[in-house]
Amino acid sequence: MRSSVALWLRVAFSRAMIRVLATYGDPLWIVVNVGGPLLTSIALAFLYKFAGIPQFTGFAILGGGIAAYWGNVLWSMAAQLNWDKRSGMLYLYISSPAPLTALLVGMSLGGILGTLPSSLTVLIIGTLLFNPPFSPPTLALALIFMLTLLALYGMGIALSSLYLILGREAEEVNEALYEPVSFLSGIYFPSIGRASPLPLAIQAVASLIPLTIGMDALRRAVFFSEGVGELWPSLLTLAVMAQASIILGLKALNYVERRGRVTGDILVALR
Amino acid sequence: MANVEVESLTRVFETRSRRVLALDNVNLEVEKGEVFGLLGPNGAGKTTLIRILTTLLLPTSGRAVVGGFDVVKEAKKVRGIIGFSSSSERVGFDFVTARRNLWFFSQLYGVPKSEADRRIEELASLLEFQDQLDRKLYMLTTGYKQRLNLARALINDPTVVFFDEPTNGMDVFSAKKVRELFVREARVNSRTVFLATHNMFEAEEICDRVAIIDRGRILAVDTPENLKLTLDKPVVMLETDVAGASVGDPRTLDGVVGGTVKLDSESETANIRVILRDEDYLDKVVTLLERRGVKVLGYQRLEPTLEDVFISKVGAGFAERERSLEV
Amino acid sequence: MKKLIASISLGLERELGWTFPPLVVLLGTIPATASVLIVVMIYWVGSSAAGAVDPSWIAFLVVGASLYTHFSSYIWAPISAVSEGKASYTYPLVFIAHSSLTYVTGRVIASFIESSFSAILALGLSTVAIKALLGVEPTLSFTPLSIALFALGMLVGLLAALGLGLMLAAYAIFVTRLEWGLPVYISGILMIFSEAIFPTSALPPPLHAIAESLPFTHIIRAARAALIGPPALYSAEIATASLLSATWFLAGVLVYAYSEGLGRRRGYIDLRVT
Ligand SMILES: Nc1ncnc2c1ncn2[C@@H]1O[C@H](COP(=O)(O)OP(=O)(O)O)[C@@H](O)[C@H]1O
Ligand SMILES: [Mg+2]
Repeated sequence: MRSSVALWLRVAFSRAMIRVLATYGDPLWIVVNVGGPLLTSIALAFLYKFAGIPQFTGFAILGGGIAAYWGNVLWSMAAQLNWDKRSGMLYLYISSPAPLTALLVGMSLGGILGTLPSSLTVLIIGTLLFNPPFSPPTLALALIFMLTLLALYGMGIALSSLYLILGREAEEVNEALYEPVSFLSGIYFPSIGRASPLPLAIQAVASLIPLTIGMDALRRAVFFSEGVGELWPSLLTLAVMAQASIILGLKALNYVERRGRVTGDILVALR
Repeated sequence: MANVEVESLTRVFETRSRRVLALDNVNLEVEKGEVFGLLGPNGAGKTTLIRILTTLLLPTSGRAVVGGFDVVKEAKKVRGIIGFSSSSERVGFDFVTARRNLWFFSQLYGVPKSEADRRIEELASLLEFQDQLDRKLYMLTTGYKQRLNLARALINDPTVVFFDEPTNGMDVFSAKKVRELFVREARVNSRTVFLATHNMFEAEEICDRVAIIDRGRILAVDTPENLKLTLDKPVVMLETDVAGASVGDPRTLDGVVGGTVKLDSESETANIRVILRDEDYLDKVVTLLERRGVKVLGYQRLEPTLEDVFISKVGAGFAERERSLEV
Repeated sequence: MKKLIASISLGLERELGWTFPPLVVLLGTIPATASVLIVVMIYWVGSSAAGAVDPSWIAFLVVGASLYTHFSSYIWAPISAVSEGKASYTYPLVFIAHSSLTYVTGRVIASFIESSFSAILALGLSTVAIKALLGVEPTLSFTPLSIALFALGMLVGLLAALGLGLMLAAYAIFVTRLEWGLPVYISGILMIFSEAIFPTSALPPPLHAIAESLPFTHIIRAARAALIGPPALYSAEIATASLLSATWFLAGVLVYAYSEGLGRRRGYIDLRVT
C-alpha cells in the first residue's frame, strides 16, 4: 500500500517535471503558443473599447490569459494520449506498473506550470496596452483560479480517454470544440449572471461547464472586488465540479484500459 | 524454473468485417537466462503473443505466466518485472536530454534516484552512448535513439525482456551490437530475452531456442541446430530462365514438399528453391520444369536454413505466406 | 490546368476523405458560428453597459467576423500542404513531378471551397442565432445581386489569400517544425487590422495605414457594402481590393517560386526534423 502511494507520487512528479522541462527547453514553442490568445484578446479589447466601455477591455485580457490554459487542455491533455498511442508511448505506460492516473495528473501539473509563461505574457502585454482597472488580488481570486484550473484539467483527463476510443476523429472533434466552449463558457464575455445577454435556458446549459463558473467568478473577483463572502456559491460549485470531473476522468481512464485489453485496438495503433 | 509459461493460449480478434484467429492454442516454456526467438512471417501472431505477455492484451482463452505471475490476474506484478521495446515505436521527449528521458522511464517503475543514476551510466557505457547522455533527444542520430530505446527497455532491471522486431530498420553494424547485447543480458544478467523476429539469420545466430510460428500456431520449438537436423530432406536451388518465375506454387511439381520462387530481374533468371521428398525426385522436377517451358540453367544442393524448416512444414516461404494473407 | 484540378480534388479528398463530407462542413461551421457569436456578444455586453446599443453594428460584425474566420481557416492550407508533405515525404515527390506551385494552389482552392460552405452557413446560422438569443435581427439584405456581389468579394479574397498563403508556404519550405506558429500570428494580426470586428478608426491613427494596405480590409468593406449598404461604396472597395489582391498574389507567386528554387539548391525540400 505504502509503496503503491510512493510509486504514484514518483510517476506524477516525474511526468510533471518532464513536461515542464520539455516546455521550457523549447522557448519557440512558448512563443508560438502565446500568439493565438494574445492577438485574439488584443482584438477583442479593441472591440470593447469601440463598444464604448474601455473598463471592460480587462474581460478580453483576462479571457486571453485563461484561453491559453483552455488551448493547453485541449491540445496537450485531451489529445495527448492519442498521440502517445501513435508513438508507442502509451504501450510503455500500460506495460509498466505506473498508474495512468498518476501520469495524467502529472501531465496536468506540468501543463499548468508550462502554460504559465503564455498566460502571463497575455496578461502583462494586455495590461500595458489597455490598462484595464484590476482589483487587487485576493484569497478568493487565488482559490477560484486554482479550482478553475483543476476543473479544466479534469475535463482534459476525461476527454483524453474519450478520444482514445474515438481514434482518428478525435482531432477534428477537438478542433471543433475550442470555439463553441469559448463562447458558452464566456471566456471573453459574461455568459451567465446578470450581465449575460444570453437567455436563461442557454445560461443553464453553459453552467454545466466548469469553466463557465470559473470565468464568471474570476471576472467578479478581478473586476468587481468580490470576495469569498459573495463568491462562496461559485467556489463550492467549482470544488464539486472539479472533483466530479477528475473522478469521472480517472474512472473513464480505467475503463479505457480495461476495454483496450479486450478489444486490442484502443491502446495501440494498428499499422 | 521457467520464466515464461504459456498454456493453450488462444486469441481471437473480432472486427466488424472479419474474425481473426491470431493465436491458436499456443504452448511454450522459456527458461531463465535464455535467448528465445519467436520466428515467423508478418501476420503470424508474434506481436499478439508479446502483447498478451506484456499485459496489453487479454487472451481469449488459455493461460500465461511471466516471472511466476499470471498475466491476467496479476498484471500489476508482471508489469514491474518486464521490459519491452519494439522497432516501430518512436518514444521519448525531444526537448529533454537523453539522461532525463531515461530517468523518466525509470520512474515509471519507481526506481530510486541513486539506483536510476547508476543504471543509466551503466547502460550508456554498455551501449556506448555516454557522450550523448546530456544532449537533447532531437539532436541524437537515429542510431543513438535506437540504442537509447534499448537502454530504456532495461532500465528497470527486468527479469524478462521482450523485443518485437528490434533490429528492423537498423544498420548492419548496430544490429550486430544489439544482438551481442541480448546474448550478454541473458548470460551475464540471467535475464530471459524474448525476441520476436522474421529475420531467420537473427534467430539462428543468437537464439538458444526458436519457436516457429505461422498463422497463430507454433509449428516447432527447438534449438536452431536441432530444427535443421529434423529436416532430413534435400534442399535444392534451381537456377532457371525468367520463365521459371511464373511456375506458380512449386508444390504442383511432383515430389516437391514446398518451396519459394524468386525472380532475379538483374541477371534475368529465376531462383526456385525447393525441398524434395527425396534425392530421386530431382531429375523428375527438372524434366517437369522443362516440359512447362522453363529452361533449367543449373542446380545446387544447399544446407538447410530455418526458412527451409518453415517451408517443409507450411509448404511455402515467408514471402508467399505474407502475400497470401493480404487477400 | 489538369494538374490544378487534380490537386484540388486531392485536397478535397484529404480534407473530406476521413469521414462523410457533411460532418466536415458541420465541424467547420460550428466553430465559425461560435466565433461570430462571441464577437457579437462582446459588442452587446459592452455597448449595453455603456448605454448605447446600436443594432446596425451587429450586421457589421456578422459580416466581418464570418469573412474573417473564412480567410483565417484557409490561409493554413498551403502551409499544411508543405509541412505535411515534408513530414510524409510526399512533398519532394510533388516537387519532382511538377512545379509545386500548382499543387499548393490546388490545395488552397480545395480548402477555400470547403471553408466557403462553412462561412456561408455560419453567416446564416449566426443571423438566426442572434435573433433567437438577443431578439434583434441583423439588417442584412439577401438578394440575388447582393449574394453575387458578396461571392465576388470571396473570390477576390481567394486571390489575396493565395498570395499570403504562398508566402507562408515559402516560409514553410525552410522551417522544419512548428510551422503553424506563423499562420497563428498572421491570422491574429488580420483580426486586429482587417476591420473584421471593429472599424479601422478604433485603432490608433498611426496604425490606420496598415489596415488600409491589407486587401482583406477592402474585401470585408466591399462585402458589407453588398449585404448592408451603401451600394455606392461597393465598386470603389472591390476595385481597391482587386488591385491589392492581385499585387499580393503576384508577390506570393514570385516569393514562392524563388523560395522553391532556393530550397532546392540548399537542400531544404526534403528536410524534416522529428
Ligand atoms: N487489434 C487487432 N484487431 C484485429 N486484428 C488484429 C489485431 N491485432 C492483430 N490482428 C491480426 O492478427 C494477426 C496476427 O498479427 P500480429 O500478431 O501483429 O502478427 P506478427 O507480429 O507476427 O506480424 C494478423 O492477421 C493481424 O491482422
Ligand atoms: Mg509484429
